[in-house]
Amino acid sequence: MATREAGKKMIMLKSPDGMEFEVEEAVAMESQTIRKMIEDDCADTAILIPNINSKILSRVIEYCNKHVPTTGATGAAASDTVAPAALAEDLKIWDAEFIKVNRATRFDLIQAASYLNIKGLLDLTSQTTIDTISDNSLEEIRSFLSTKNDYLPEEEQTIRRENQWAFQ
Amino acid sequence: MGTVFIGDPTAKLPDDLLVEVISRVPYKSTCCCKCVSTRWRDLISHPDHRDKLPRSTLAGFFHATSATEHHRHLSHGYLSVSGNWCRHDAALSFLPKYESLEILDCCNGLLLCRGRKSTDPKTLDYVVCNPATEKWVTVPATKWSWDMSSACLGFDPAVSSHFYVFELVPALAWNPIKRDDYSIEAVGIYSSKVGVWTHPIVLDDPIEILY
Repeated sequence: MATREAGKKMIMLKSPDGMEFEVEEAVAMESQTIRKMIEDDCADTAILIPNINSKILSRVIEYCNKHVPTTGATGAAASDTVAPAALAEDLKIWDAEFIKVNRATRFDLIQAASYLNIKGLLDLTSQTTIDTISDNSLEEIRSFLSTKNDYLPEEEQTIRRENQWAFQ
Repeated sequence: MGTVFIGDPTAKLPDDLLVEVISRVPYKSTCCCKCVSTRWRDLISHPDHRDKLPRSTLAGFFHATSATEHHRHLSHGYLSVSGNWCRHDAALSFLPKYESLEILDCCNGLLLCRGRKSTDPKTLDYVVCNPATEKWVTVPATKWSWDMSSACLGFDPAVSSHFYVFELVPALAWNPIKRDDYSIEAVGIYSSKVGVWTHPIVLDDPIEILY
């Protein structure tokens, strides 16, 4: 990770595959789980994130870096010069690019967002997944999620009939 | 983590996270989601997830419409307060044919109706139905049912999928003139789980119920 300017508190995050990520405390605290650890003084030098590999963890940090509030003492430049609406729009475009990942990565991100308790990331990953569900037919949903249809034919007929109105 | 997944990638999402994902669609889409697979159906139907998942926003009033010259018996109307995205059979025509059908009570989405059949001898049924799914079951009448002005329904889907019907048996036959003087001598309870009426409370002194 790039060296940060002096005066900002840095936190070391370690993935189980041995990679270390030095991030600003404010960025790490986008995760409510890590925030709790820091607030409870459980984080002295490094925090081991036990179940998120370095590839996913680096993506999560990338997300937090982008989403850390730019108001206040840090990063004043961004919020002073750009209107909040434009900033939100910019973030939206950035999010849309960020989430262009394959399914397996997206599901890893959902799990990471849930474990680290990062609401914005959980919303983004889940919403992107569910958008596919809302817009498509049952067969497309199944094939997109590679979910096996394990209904017996008569079972499926019944459940389809019961919920027929929802497909109209 | 990080391995290649063959087959269902959602299989590795634990239940609570899959529910998290599904919770973001409107109620209507969760009904489509039920058809995806048995796991999805079971998750969406599970009472534990009721608070998390969107619920039906179906809300409205069933009301009786007065009998007219052309329609000898009372019929029913439905006024929606939640938009009309769900086709609703206000006349409850999905129910078996009765000479007259009266809505007595409703409780958390179920309706309790009383239907009179014009068979000989005339018979009486209680019918409990869910107008949203158009499913219904009949509950046999008791020896008191003809004397009852009304009956009550108890149902809480968060607790159980079973319902109860209550008959508050009047001490004297129902007298509409003496409406305020309505004392009961027994309470009949029908449980849909057991499928029989019980009358566990037999009172020596009739108690008065004020409506």
